[in-house]
Amino acid sequence: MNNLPPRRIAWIRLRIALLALLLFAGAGAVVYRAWDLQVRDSEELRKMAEKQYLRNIRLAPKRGSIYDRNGAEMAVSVDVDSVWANPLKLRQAKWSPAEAARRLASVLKVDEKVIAKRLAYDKHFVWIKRQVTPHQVKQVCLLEIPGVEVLQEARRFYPNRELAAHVLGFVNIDGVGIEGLEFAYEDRLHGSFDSVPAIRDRRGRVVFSEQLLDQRAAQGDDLYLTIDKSIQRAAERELELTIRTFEARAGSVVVLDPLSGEILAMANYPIFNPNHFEDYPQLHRRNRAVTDRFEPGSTTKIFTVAGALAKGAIRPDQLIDCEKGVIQVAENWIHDTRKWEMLTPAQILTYSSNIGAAKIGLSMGRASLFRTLRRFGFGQPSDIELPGETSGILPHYKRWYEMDAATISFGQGLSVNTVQLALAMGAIANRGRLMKPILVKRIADARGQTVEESLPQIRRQAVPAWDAELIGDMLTGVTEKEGTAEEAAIDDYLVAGKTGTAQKADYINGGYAKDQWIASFIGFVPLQHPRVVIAVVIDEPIIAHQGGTVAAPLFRRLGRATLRHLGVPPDSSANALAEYVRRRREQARQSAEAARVESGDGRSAESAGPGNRSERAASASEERVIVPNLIGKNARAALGEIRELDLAIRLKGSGLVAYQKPAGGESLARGGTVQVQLKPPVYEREPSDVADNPLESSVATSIKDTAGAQVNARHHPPGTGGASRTPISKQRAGGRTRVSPEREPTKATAAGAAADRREKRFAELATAASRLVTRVVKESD
Amino acid sequence: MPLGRRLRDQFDWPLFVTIAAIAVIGIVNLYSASSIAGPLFVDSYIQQIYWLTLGSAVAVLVVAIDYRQFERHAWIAYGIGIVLLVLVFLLGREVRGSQRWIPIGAFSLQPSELMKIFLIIALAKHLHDDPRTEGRTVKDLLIPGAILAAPLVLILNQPDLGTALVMVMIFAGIMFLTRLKIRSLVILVLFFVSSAPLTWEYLLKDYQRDRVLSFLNPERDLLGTGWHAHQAQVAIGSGGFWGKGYLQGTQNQHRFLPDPRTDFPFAVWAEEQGFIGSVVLLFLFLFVILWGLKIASDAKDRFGAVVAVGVSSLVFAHTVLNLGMVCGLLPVVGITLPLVSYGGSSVLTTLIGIGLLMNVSMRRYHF
Repeated sequence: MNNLPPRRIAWIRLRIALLALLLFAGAGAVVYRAWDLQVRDSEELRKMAEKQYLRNIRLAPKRGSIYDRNGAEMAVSVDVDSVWANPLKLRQAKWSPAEAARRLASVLKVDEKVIAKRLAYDKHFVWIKRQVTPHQVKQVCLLEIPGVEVLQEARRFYPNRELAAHVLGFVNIDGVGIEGLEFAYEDRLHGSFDSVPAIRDRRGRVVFSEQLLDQRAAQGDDLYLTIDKSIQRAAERELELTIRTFEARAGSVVVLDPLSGEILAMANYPIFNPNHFEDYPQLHRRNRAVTDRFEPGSTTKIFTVAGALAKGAIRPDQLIDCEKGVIQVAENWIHDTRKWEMLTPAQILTYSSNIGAAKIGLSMGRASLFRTLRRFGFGQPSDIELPGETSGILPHYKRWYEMDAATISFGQGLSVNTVQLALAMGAIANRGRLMKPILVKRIADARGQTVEESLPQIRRQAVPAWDAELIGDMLTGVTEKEGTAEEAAIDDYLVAGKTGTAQKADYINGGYAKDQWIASFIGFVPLQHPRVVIAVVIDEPIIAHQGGTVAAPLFRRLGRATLRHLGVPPDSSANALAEYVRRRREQARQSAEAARVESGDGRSAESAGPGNRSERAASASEERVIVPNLIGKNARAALGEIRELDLAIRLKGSGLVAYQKPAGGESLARGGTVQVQLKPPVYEREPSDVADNPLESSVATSIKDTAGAQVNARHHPPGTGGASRTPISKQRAGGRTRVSPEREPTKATAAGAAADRREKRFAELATAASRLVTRVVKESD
Repeated sequence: MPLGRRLRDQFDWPLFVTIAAIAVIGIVNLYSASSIAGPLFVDSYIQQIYWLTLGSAVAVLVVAIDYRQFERHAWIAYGIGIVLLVLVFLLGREVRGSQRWIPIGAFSLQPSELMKIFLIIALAKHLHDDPRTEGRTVKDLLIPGAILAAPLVLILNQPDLGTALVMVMIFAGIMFLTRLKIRSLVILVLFFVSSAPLTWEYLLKDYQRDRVLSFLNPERDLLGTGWHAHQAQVAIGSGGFWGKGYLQGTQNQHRFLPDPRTDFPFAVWAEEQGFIGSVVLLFLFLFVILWGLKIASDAKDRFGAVVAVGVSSLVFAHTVLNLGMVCGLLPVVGITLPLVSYGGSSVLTTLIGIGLLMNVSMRRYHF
């Protein structure tokens, strides 16, 4: 165009410039608009975007699972389909809500009118029916109603149905825990969606963005309980059996590991199925072991006596006059079931004498009794991880009437819950240490990493260790022939326990109801190395009401099953040990009589044993005897030899004698005590080696699915069959095995009587070391 | 002058670099836009690279031939275009309610795209052959009007409102450059205004009317026809000043954004690259258009000038209509963003047009 006149060119250029201007106007409009959107309204639009992809957060992240101590599933979340509808879409498709509701109702078994009403709402989202079956989903899809859709929701599922239902609790339809551990650990189980938002696409599927590669971060944590599914099952079975047998109203059983405070089982009756919790009355869903308080009755005597011993108010060998069955305190009468006369504290426990207990209680003083019971955890919550715990009632001693000090001594006028009772007994079993109860052993995040672990925690030393052990010795009498709970005895094990038979308070007429009882039994086993405490409380049994008749057999059956499940080796020398304990009690009685003779207490002279015996005991104390060498002998033989010489013996462990003090050949005052350490024979057998599982043969296989069990199994050499053991108990078992000084004493056996001094010194050191280990293990358990 | 030396001395580097930049942005953006698409589409960006390669080859061919050859055969090209448009109705297959494609083996040809180029050439030929300098009357506009009307009617019957609109804008751009009498201009404007209700009543399909209504009142049917525009604006706006980062756009990645590959790639870009990214892309297009106008004013003859203006108008129409639609300034019309939208015909047409620009640019001197 360069050949055109300049004016033309100018014109053309002008028009091109105009065109360019128009262009700039267009571009400017776009830029302006972009500025509008991206800078001015950016915030608002970003929120709109977020609302889109973060909307409908109703679907929570996956709820954590609950496992038992061996990793068996107790509560899991599974995805199920729920039907919802978009009423606006329905309307757009020109469907009538009534027609859609009619069709939906025919398939889903829901109320047609309710659905029709919901479909008429001016909303984008209404539920039609939640958590439906796959078959129903198929049918709904076949209806092809526009706007009716299906989405996935998590539903809580309890695979073991009623098992441990009261402990686990349950969740409502929105997946929020409303009872039990589901409620108590709601925050942990629920997971978080504040910090990690669930991002959804247009179809509502969770599609977490790139920053959140690990979607497990949003999931809830898993709980690993201390509950052992097998023990729990046994406990529930036995409880139901007992309640059916004695036609009782309700009941609870708590199984506790006394050394760690871990709850191995917590059973209640009546039961409910948490999968359909709404079908059961509130009465069935209560965790009575924690929420209900009752007057403990005679079981309280244990703690009264322990406190009195610890305070020095009574001596173990002291004789207490039980006044032939009836005494008056203030204006009230206290009765015994039989007309006892002079009883040692051990006998008071064995025969369950109210008068004896009252006297012991009175002798130690109100403040002391009150403090003792407080120290055993009465009148304050045990702080178990479950909601709604009652702390029980222990009135302050300044508010006691004169009578109260006497009745509280044998368990009237205070109340406790079953867990408290089990823990208090645990303190007796655990050398006087009251433990904090543990129900949740471990909390792990979705990756399996432990985020929280409950370690055994000593709440306090309730009574000195020696007094606790002494009470334990005394309580074995309860399960023997003359005791109140012969039915609680377990073959091959020494059982320490106590019955309780309490009349229920009559809240309407005041006083106590004539024919409403609470029968209870608390005990631990085995005596020397307690592994389990079992507390049994049966509410209003009708057929019988004595704790020894109603609750003790349950203890026996459950105790036996539990010991076999835990692989606790039988006391091979149990009979001998029983003999030994009996002898010790006899001795205590004798020396008590001797003391009486010395003090010239004439009143009980008639009831005392033959005088020559006490004289012999008195004179024997001056005589010295040579201690025989017991190394390599079994407990029975050792006992026989020692008894011949009128010496006492204190046995530790089981098997053959590995070490003794004083050593063979040394002299000891007649009536003195020889300490003997027993050791299992050479064919080393791990305590956890139980070939067949008495409770549940499937346990070993079922838990292999879980990671924890696999790790555990790997530590075990194949074929030991000990895979069902948890690490913690295995550790303890290992600790126990380590305790006995094994190698050295074997050599000492070879050396025979000519035990050379150096080896003896070594053995002594080993024993000392092993005691230390025992203590450390116990404390760190 | 042989092509080799011409290439070295007169090659239009600014145009080439800008176009290359847009094409690269297009591929990068397409990768993001299709990253969430089903398995059928994840390789869209590879396809796009094939099309760009093919288009570049064609463009090289177009550059190699002196544009005066095109002038000579303009009517033949125009005729072929019309024939193809007619063939669409005989052989074409229907996609989403309109017939725009002729299947050729594995590919599909969209004659309406090519027709844009042929229209530019035909109009240029007509104006070149009628080198009047005085202002044109309405009567003088009858022939160019007919040149436009023939393909326009065919295209509106497919129906393809977007392409028709682009053609009208190309026509307007070219006619603006030639001298019109003020009277003709007024008559022209009046004609368009008065034909608007008729167009509304008879020419537009139901869904098109819906779109316009939705545009005028976005709240009218947010989940239906207003959805696209609304989602695009949410996507763009939520990008903010700096953007959410490449592949981080939530609205695109979570499929809230409709048609992110073909109609709304700009929304993907704007969401992920923010206001900054949008402005950069916009200025690249603006540069191409302005450069095209500069080429027009430097062209050595009227044919070249009109072709340059026509191609500029083509790019301008696509860019403004697409961005206007995406930003919510205009109703939703299915118009691609040149070289950024996915699609073979669009890429080919754009690159042929750019080839023509380059051709005119490289032959602007007399020898």
